[in-house]
Amino acid sequence: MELFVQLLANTLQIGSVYVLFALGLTLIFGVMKIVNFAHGAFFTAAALVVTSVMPFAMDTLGLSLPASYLLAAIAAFAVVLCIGAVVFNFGFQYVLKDLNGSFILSIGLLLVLNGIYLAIYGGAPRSVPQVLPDTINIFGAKLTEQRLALVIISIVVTGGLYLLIERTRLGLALRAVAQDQEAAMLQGMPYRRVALYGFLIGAALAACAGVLMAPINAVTTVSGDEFLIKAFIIIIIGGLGSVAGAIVGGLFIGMVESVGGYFFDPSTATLTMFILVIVFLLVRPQGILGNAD
Amino acid sequence: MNGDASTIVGGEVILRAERLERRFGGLTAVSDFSFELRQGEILGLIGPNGAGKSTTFNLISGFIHPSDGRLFVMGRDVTGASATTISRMGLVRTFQHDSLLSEMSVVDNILVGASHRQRGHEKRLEKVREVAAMTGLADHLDMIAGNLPHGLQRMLSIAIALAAEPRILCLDEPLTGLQGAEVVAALELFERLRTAHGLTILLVEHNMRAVMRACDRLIVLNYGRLLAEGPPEAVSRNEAVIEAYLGRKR
Amino acid sequence: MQIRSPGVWACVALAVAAVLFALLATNPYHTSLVVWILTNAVLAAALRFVLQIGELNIATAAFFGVGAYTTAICAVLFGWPFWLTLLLAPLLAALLSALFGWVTLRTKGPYFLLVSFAFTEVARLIYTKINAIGGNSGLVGMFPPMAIDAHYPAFAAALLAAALFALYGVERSDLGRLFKAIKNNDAIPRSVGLNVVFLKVLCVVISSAAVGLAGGLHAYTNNVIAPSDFSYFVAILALAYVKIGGEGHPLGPVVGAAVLTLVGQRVAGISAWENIFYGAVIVVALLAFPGGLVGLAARSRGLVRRDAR
Repeated sequence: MELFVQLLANTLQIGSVYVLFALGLTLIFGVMKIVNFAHGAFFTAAALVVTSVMPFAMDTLGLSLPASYLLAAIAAFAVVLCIGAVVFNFGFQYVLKDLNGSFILSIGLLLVLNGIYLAIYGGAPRSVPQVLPDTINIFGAKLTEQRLALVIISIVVTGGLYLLIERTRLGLALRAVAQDQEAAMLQGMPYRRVALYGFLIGAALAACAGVLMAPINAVTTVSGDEFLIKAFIIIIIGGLGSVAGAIVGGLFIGMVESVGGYFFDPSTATLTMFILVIVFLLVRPQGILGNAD
Repeated sequence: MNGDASTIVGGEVILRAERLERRFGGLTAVSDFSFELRQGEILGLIGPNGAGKSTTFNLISGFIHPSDGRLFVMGRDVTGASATTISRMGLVRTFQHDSLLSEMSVVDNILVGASHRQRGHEKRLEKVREVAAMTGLADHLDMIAGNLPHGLQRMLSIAIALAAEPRILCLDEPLTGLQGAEVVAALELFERLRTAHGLTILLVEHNMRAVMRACDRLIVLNYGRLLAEGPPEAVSRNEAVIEAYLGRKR
Repeated sequence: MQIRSPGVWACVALAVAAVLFALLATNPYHTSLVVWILTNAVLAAALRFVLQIGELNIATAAFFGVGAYTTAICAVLFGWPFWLTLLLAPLLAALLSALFGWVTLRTKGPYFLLVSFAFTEVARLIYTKINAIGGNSGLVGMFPPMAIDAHYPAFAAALLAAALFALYGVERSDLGRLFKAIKNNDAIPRSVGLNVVFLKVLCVVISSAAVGLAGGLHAYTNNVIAPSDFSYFVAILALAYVKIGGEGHPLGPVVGAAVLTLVGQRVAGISAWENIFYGAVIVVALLAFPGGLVGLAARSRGLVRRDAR
């Protein structure tokens, strides 16, 4: 029983980050019909910014730990949104709906960004202290409060995103454009602007994941990229462009990783994921919740 | 009409649709639709916009699969078969939109059509020349398909289909955008294909005058269902058909 | 963009010159550079080959690895003869790519891209996990037989050049036309009796056979291979070569490979700047010079044929 709860807790924790990551990726695909290979760079940027702003805030500004973290988080979002706006304006807006072109562009951007991170921060892992370091006990499973907070915040953010997509006008625009871009444009929707918003929301989601993970795992300039391949697997299984699919897929992959990692080892878990993807593609090429054509 | 023993109009049934139905989510595009196509005839499929003609075309050529009902080509059950399978059996179709390889030359377009049936580059080129002569494209072989004038583009899409040596030629609005003389030439081509080459033709068209002239028989679709069937004269006087087409020009 | 061919014979002459250079040059650095450039050219050309059907095949890197590991395993672990180990490289790569393609090419657009990426990563992971083939450290000890050891670079260069010409030959044939047709409008080939999935798989198989051979040759060139040699980054570099050289012309990948390999030597070793360099090159090439270097050269000589629009 205790093992089960522990695995469940791990699944939720790993899965939450994957969900946030995959949500951004799938949203960007849904609206812009592109695969953003540089998505990890948003995560990494956010995490790295946290690792430099937090110590600065605590040591130089004398703020408390939670306040520093909050400030760092705000700074991280600001930086990521700036990066996002710049790469969209100078790059992605010219390759909207061009799958190969945008993929190539995102590869180039990833290399440039990684190089910049490396030049600024160097290769050594960086960490920041946990804001909620205490451990709590739920049904016999041990979980740090930090990780629990991560799960809770992820759920809140995911819920917020769901509300945004289903209940707001922006969400309607995003959905319309994802479903039939030409029809949406005929209705007068400014596609480029909607695409920009979708892109920035996606980037913000990755940044959120980065901010939440910074106190938990040491950050390197390639932290975000390690999530990327799993995020790809998630959105294939969940269906490209499907928000619900990203959630289900993220939790599922979180489960495979926590269970596989416990009984075997991490790379075996990754192998299992891949075999699952193959099987899925054989049976249901459009993913669990994607649209059959 | 030049008679040829193998092109008796009203010969054996080479295409049969049996209660075809196709649903898209909540929408039923085609329902309980049955018809037969006989060797050597020119059959016209007509109906108002949204009647389900495109869906029917996609169903019989294997580009989409029926939700219900069955399809027989040359007597064989091909329900659910792929477009590749059905076209290999001799049913070749053209497209209303996006009907060409627009970035490739005329030669290359027709070559692709000939690729399956003809083995070897020389045989394929021979086929290209033969088909290009039939469709008036002999002087345009090196042009990029997308640069051709509209009338020749329509001819090219027919040429691609002909290069595949079909027995049943399914033409999806082949006369769209064609002017007077071009329409006449096209209709003459259809007649020649039937009499001299033994083809059977299924035609979806909006050009009513052409349809009345060229077709032996008409099938009228409305809201995905069979509305009327018979020789053009009879169908054109059918009250239900006139009502469905309210406002059409005579 | 189509560019009238500057002459196949000029390319043959160039290839012969490269082989002769590899044969006669005394500096081993130079000869290995020729082989290295040609290897990169094959990777780029093979990637471009699959771009003909409109798919970006990251698994090019994976099958490069399959070829290399096949040769290495047969040579070092089984002790099989040189010619056999090299023959098996493209064969096994072709076989595995057929299986891979059969499963993945039925899916639409972006799925293939993502799956080819995942496949490459997983292949790499599998290599690291199997200790019998060296795990993380890979395999060592692949040496060409004494008889040709001295001239091995020329031998490799000749085979690599041959692979390039083979890819070119298929591209210009009727089969190559079918590939282009699939990318242009795959409903047309489907409507005239062509099996589009089969043709797409065939395209990947041909491309993989070429990189499989390159992989096998690579094993003997380097004498050592490791899983990290075959990560998705290899495919990304190949993509950079294609983009810089120019996607529209068969010479593009060769030009791009040559230029970037040579220039890349300057930035080698400084991780951050290496990243920024390749990344900037890709971004600038994509946004500002979509036709690549070959496209630029052709345009300046008025050789570009008008597109159909």
